[in-house]
Amino acid sequence: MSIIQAIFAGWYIALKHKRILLLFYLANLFFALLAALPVYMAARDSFNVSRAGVEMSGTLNAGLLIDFIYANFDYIAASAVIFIVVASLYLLLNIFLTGGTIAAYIADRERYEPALFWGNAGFYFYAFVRLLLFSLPLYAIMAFILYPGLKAGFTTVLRNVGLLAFSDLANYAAIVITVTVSLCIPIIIDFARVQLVVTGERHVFDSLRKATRTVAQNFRKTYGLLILFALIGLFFLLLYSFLSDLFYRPALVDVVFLLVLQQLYLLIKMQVRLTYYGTLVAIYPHLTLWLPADLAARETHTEEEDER
Amino acid sequence: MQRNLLKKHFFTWLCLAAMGTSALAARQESTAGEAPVRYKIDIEIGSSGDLQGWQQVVWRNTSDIALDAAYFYLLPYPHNLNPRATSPARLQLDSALAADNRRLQIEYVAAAAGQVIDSSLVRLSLLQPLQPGETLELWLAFKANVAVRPAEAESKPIVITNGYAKLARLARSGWQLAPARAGFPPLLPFSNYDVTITCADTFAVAATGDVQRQATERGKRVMQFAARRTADFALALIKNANDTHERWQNFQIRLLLPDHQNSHRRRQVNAIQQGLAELDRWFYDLPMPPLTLIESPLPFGMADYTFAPGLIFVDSYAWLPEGARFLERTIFRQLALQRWLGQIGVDRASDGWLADGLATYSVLRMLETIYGRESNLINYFGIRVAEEHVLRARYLGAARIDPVAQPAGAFYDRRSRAIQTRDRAALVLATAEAIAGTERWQALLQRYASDWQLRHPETGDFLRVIGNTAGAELARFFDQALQTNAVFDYAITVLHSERLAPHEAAASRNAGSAPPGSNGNSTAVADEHVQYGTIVRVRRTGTFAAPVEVQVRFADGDTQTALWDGNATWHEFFMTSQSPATSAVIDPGQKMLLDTDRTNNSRTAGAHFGDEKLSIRWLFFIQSLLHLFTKIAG
Repeated sequence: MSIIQAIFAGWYIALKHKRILLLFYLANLFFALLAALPVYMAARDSFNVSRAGVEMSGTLNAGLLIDFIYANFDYIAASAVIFIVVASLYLLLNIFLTGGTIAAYIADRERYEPALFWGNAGFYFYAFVRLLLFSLPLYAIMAFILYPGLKAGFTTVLRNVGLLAFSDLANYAAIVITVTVSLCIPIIIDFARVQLVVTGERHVFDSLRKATRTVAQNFRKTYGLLILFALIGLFFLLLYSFLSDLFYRPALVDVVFLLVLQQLYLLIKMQVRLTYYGTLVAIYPHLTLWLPADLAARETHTEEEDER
Repeated sequence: MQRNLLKKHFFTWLCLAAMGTSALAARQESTAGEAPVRYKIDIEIGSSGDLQGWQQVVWRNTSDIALDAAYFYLLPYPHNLNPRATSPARLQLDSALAADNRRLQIEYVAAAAGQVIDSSLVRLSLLQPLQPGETLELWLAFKANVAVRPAEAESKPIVITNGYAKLARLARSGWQLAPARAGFPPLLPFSNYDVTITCADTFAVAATGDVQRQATERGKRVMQFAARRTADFALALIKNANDTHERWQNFQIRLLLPDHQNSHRRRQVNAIQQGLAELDRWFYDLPMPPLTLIESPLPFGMADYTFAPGLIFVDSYAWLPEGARFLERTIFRQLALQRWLGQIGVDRASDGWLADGLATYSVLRMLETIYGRESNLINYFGIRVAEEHVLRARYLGAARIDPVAQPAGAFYDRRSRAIQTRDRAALVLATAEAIAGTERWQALLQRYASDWQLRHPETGDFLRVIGNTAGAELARFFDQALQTNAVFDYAITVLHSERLAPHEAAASRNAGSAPPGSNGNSTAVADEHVQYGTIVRVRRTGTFAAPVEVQVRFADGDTQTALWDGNATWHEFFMTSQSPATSAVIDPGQKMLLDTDRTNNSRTAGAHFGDEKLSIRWLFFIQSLLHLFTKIAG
């Protein structure tokens, strides 16, 4: 199965389970509303009946925004504290929902079954949290061992070949490689999740090992998947940026349209996220097992080669 | 040997230098109050970073008293421009001779009573007292170790700003001795320099002044520089640099930059040309010394406030697009420092704002004039940031901590000192421009520049120029803005219009009187065809009192403007008009940049969607952040 086929399959699965999409979206909206409330209160004081309000209802005025932040620093600080709490809770909820989502996608029932979704969400929650905790030291290794090591190595090489004037390049190269390698961590964690749900086990370390092997053996496909999803995300971001610029006028209709556009964009982002899970579920068996379809494709491929 | 050579050719060099620069010197002598010190210096820098040399110092006793000693500063070396130096080595004086070869006694002393003797100030006892008006010649031998790691010297310039013994300033009452404070060197007299630098031919050399001679022989590079009436002398050794020149209006610009700066050459040259033109247009046409662009040896972004006469430090902005004008800002700031520090001798340790504040203000004006007010710093991919925003963001974070004009050591901390003397001082000057009017303000700054070029002004001198030229209003403003930490904030708290009864309208037309129930804080502005009365109440919510302009807009498009001296804690305006008011604004041009909160500067009759739009933007931002957070971590 090619990654394009897998993405289409994932999109179809995610679209089929609309309730899950709605659940993810509403959870995001609810937690964001909690975190955004203090700033809304402050904005009402500053921008309701003033010329500053007129200016802010058009394009964003950076000067007024700076004044607003300093004049309402207590609100902003409260908002930051609330955000930390809200983000932590939202992270846990997201992990909780992911177990049910992957299970529902694997089962692929025609109708939404609450028991299947919520039961698996609870069943895999602890295992998924442990997976998250396992990923933290990996990120630390990237930041504190891989990056400084690469930077020192590149600098030494440049010095030895007499190109130390380009020492900034060593830094940039180290950053690019570290980020590239770090991106493998979420892929491995996500494959480990799918592995856990497919096998019905909760042996986290074992699934992590198998997922690492799967990603390493199919590096082109798995990394390609990540790049493709990044490109899809970028496409929607550019589209959103272009459309949002259209609603710059200080009028109610523009405010309403901007709100609708923003929420639509976030709904699409959620759909892309769920498509990613769906894609992993769709491609996973093809990466770990020789399924009949893959064997047939392989035989066809071999016959073509023989004929040639 | 070297000393003998120098002595042998001394008079020849002196005559040549005097002839070559007589015109410039003649003009400058007429404007300066002190006689320049004449330095002839010969420095040799070895491949291992060791430095040694001789210097001849000639100066005239311009004081009213006989001098029995001369004082020289031996400042930490290399300067903090070389953070990669293995140790902060100091220049050492080996010997000091009078013109007749007799040895002078060297004694390390403290700059003032109670100060530690730290080898930074040396006293040379003269063999006989130097009478007022007499000239003295001394010969000094010195050495130091640059001690820069060889690998670093391959990639970054070695900048040497304290590579010779610097004669202290002489006032009418005698020597003006001051220790180096807060990292700033003591104030030096404007001097003439003829410097010969010898180093390995793998280095290119940049230094203060004009290149007089250059030669390469037996693996050594010899360069001779001449600088007249400059605040100091600095040099830089650079490996792997391209040495090119640009001309602009008879002005020579030298670029001594590594290959990776090539792609920015056009931007750099444009920035210098535009910056020089704006400096002359805004702040008086002083003759700028020859300039050499070199790459900053400091970590990225720290070049902006570095100063060495004749040297323009630039960072490597290879990855920045043209829409991000940090490169231009750095060059503008460097040019402004050449003007406000290099040509007007300000003591950064005691009146830092007078150099750094004026330089920051000059950069603000240059960026606004060349790139417009709204997005003059970043205008790229929908991101629009102005220098004004950056200054205000920094100022608002420390608006109440310290006054602007005080000695460097008196500030709460280094961050506060930097913000008050640069960002806040620039906003003070911009607000003063708004109060005085641009033309009047420009004339005032030009007056200050022409009066104090090649001299050493203090805060009081600047205020005297203000007081003499602009009057009491601006002088009062500067008293508060510089000497106190008063907070500038005015707010419109009430805007209310209602139709007047016929007899009230008639009374208003006849008398222009305030509305019933008003008190002594009220002012009335009358209209001939009165139908509506409008009350605008302005509060001084800060502690800073300054004149305030209030503009009221009416439903029929008409506007009325009123002025308030801003002294009382609040003031009420009563205006009559043919239609109800729709909005009232303090400082409609948003020129009072010291205002700490501009969101309360206006009031409208009806509600707007600013709060809703900001809130939905904020909500979207939080939603996206949560989504991203779970993508990375969850």
